[in-house]
Amino acid sequence: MSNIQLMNINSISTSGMHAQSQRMRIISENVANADSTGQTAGEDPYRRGTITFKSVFDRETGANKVEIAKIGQDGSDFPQKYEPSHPAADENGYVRMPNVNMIVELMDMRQAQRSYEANVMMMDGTRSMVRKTLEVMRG
Amino acid sequence: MATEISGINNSAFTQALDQIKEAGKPGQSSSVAQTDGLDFGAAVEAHARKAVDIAKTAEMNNMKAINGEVDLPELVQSVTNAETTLRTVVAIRDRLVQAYQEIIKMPV
Repeated sequence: MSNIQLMNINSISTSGMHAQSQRMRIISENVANADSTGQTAGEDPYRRGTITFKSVFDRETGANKVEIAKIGQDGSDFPQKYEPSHPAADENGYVRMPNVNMIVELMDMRQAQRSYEANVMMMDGTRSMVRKTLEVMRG
Repeated sequence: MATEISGINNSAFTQALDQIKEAGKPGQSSSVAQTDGLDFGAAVEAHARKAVDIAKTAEMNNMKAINGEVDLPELVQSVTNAETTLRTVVAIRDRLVQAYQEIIKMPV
């Protein structure tokens, strides 16, 4: 475990942390806009955002880092809620709500959190490995 | 807190690197073989330069983090690198000084 290795591992973990925090951002947008309907009956409500990752080979370190592939939108249908008094209600009194499922978003948030923490543990583990190795020199 | 740590890094670095450069110079200690001393000194100096670069990057990222320009993972990355490099440099310096002292103890 050389110093260069440690720095490469650190940059890999950093890319992982960036990716997971972007994921967290999309999740928080979904959660915040879970009730954002359109203003009129014809206007679409908020559409759930999705994020996908891809592996990218970094030439100078020779490592496989992670990058955002695409920030897209969930194409599933909008659920309908019966609320005739809403400004965006159609002629039958139904309002189209955003296709955000709170339980799914919360589980996704926990996943993102655990992945982020795992990346931090990588950094920490590598650092303690190098320290232990250096202790041999001290004796 | 970040500036304090980097301040400690800087002064410890400067001292450690100076001492390593002194120990690696040929002709400084006549009991060390001259040919070995030449190559060793050059190698040590190259490593010392790299270590200084790492410390400078960490210092820059510290200032940027205080201004809010750099992300937290980058800051942690550069500070971890600098800390490890500092530990390596200090360990090498300690060993060099120890070796030098043992050689000095030899009765002439």
